[in-house]
Amino acid sequence: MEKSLNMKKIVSNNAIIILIVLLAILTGCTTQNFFTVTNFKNLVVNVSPRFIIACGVSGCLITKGTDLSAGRAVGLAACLSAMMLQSLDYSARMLPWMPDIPWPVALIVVMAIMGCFGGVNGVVISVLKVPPFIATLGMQTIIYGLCSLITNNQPMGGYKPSYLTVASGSLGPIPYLMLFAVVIGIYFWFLYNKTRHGKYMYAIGGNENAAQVAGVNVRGSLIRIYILAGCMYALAGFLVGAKAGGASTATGNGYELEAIAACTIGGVSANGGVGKVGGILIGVLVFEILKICLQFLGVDPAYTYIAQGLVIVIAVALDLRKYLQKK
Amino acid sequence: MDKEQENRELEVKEESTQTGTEGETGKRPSGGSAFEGIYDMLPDISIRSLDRFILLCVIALVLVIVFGVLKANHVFG
Repeated sequence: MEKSLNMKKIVSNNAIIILIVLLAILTGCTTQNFFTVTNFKNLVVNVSPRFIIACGVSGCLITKGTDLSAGRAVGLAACLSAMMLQSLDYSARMLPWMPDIPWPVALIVVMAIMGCFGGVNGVVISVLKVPPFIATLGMQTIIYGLCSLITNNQPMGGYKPSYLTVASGSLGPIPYLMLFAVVIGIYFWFLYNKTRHGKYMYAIGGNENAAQVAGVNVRGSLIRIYILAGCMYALAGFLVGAKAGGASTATGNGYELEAIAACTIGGVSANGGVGKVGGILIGVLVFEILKICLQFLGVDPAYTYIAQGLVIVIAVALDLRKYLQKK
Repeated sequence: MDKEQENRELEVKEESTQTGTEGETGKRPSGGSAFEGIYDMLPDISIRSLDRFILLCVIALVLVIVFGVLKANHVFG
């Protein structure tokens, strides 16, 4: 009896993951080339930037906030990277006066700029007390406008080979993109589990008033969380641009919803105070495996969107179920 | 009798100071969120009805995938 109850609990807690694993097995059995190294690499390359964005958003979600500017921030970061890293001999350079910059320097500059946008989000939310939903929705539109302005709505390409290698290169069998994601994953795990900042973050998400009374610097923590999120969008945008070999104002559109959904699937509670880096990775993987499976099965992208929507609803319902059980 | 009255007055004073501090800490130190107390705002839901809803969504998900696969294989012409 107890065993069956445990099984029921495991199944209900991991319903989506079980469904996606079954779907992957079905896809692997009915199609060719699904369980191949190439497809696995493709999965890893797609998951890496999304995981980095989800890590950035997770901090906001854990503190009962959100960040709707994530997708557009990724787009702006990709465009800024493109402007700095176009080949010197490319005829349609956006900034002809721009000298040859090594890609790490460009990455640091982009991270610093996007960190400032994150900082503005953090200040608006924690100091001006604007609800995160509204503050980041405004920032989303502002960033999109800025991106359109600086790029003149022109798509950009003609990147330096060294920049393209960031996405296409690999260290042995491991793609560089995966290395970036692994480093970020370890960093976030350490930050969330082993630092004071992480403890403060969970405390704010659990009960903000209690955290403040207990001496937590709520303002400072929130600003740091949003700055870090901005830096993560910058890194993701840099990688997305390198992966695509080009960038435009449309880059990163809708990524924020994917990231929020992946976090929810991965157990980051919409009610705040709960969330693990491992769960976030699982959430991103579930979303990406679902997409790849449906692509392999030749399913119309319209059905993929419906399936993704249903997965999000199930994830939130399961999160609500856990909350009700605790209550 | 006087002592009792004094005690009562003290109790009333203590209560009023307590509610005052609660009121101060009760203020949100930072901006609210779209998700703030999202689950508390929902009407009373039983776990059983939520399970039914989840089951319904899972069935819908399976149906969408099956329908999409069948359509991709031109089963519906």
